[in-house]
Amino acid sequence: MELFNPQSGEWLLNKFETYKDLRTRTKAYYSEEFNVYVITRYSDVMYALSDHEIFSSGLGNLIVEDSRRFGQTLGASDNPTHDIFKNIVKNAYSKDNIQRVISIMSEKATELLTDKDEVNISDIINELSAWVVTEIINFPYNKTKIKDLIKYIQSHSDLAVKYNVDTVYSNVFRNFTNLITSPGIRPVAQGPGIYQDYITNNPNNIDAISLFVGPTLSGASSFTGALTFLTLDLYRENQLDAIINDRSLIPKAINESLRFHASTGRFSRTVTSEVELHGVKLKPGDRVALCLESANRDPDKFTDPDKFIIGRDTTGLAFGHGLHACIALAISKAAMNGYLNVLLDKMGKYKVLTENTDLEYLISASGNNDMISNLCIEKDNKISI
Amino acid sequence: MIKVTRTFTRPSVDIPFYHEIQSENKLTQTHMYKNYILTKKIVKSDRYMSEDKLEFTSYIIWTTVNDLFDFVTDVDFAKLIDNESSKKHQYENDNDITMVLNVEKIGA
Repeated sequence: MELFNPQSGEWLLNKFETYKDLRTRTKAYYSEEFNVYVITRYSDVMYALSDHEIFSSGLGNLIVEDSRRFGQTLGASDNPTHDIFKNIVKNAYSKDNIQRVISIMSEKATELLTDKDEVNISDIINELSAWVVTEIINFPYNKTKIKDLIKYIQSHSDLAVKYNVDTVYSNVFRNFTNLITSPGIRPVAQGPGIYQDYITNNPNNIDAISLFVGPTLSGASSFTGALTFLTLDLYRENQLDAIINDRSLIPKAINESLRFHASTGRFSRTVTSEVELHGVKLKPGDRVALCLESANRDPDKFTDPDKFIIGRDTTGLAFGHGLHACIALAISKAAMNGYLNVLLDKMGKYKVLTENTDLEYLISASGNNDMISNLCIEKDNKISI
Repeated sequence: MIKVTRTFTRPSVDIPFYHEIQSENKLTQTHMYKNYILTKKIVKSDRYMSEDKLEFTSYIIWTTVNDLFDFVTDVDFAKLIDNESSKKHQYENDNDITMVLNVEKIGA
């Protein structure tokens, strides 16, 4: 029986129990189906994340990789390529731009949640994630149209999901991206964002359209997962009273939510030289699945790891660590903060209507991200705003 | 204005261009007429063959860059041509027909 299957809805619902078993084994579990050694302990995951030379990202970071990405994205490149890409887009993730983007997202969240008693919060979160990515990229063109493309791509692109694939929207987005960056006609940027960086902060005129596609796919799904699990866990773990009574706890609640449920739960790496990890002698070419979500529940690192405790002094490994720590960490936390404040303003002490066993996962094509499609919540009837 | 030119080159006159073996879809023609010609987003379009018959060129002149972007992000149109587009690329690949796309600003 396959003990590691991030493309199975059933496995995703029960993964933390499986990880408990895998962490205690003397040797890391090898998944034939995904051709990876499954690395589950905090210390091992941290070690691999910290040594980006032995544990290379150059052949990708997805559990199910796509060779079209190699050397083209931040996640699927080693240095010097990785730093070149990162330097091009770093202004898009500046404090000021994050503030701008989150302000827009919060307005959208307010529109979508006002006067609603019961909502499919998964749909709203998809919409908000698409807005965040639209604004981070900030193409000088019809924002609503771009947002709709991104929203559809994150649940229908062959690079995003395994089922219900419809490539028309991805093709349209790619053609549009190719065109708008064409030197002959590229329009002037209308504000900060990846588009502006790509045009003005790209000294060697690198033609890496994937700098737009990356946030559209992995960024949107990562935002979506983070907001979904925040919503779910605060309710399931009975933390709503605490943060409603004291909103200054929200940043700590966000840190704990990211530890409790990393939205990007797994990354892959390819080994470049002999190394021993979790009882296995790895050789060059071997692949490992670094399970951040399991590391974040490792009792050797966290006391009562399966409890949601606001105010822990140790944060988890969500968004990675080291060279490949996610560039979107700050904006993700800001998005979670903005979203949660609006959610509490509009829905109060909400109730989750979807049973845990009824949660439906969109099966990720990469095996890295977890997105839920049917999380529904109900407003606390006692609030009147 | 923005001129988008596509130039197709075939290795021999014995190999027909795709449009010579496949008639244009009425639905796509209607869509283009209704959404881009009637609305004056397209200023002019034309096509011609080179004297040696090895090159086929078609072009569309768009009023503004945003009009062109409206077309490129037109999902309804993309759905209309989705199947046909794959068949066309396959045919051109199989027959060594190459295509060069040129996009340029023209006029004031």
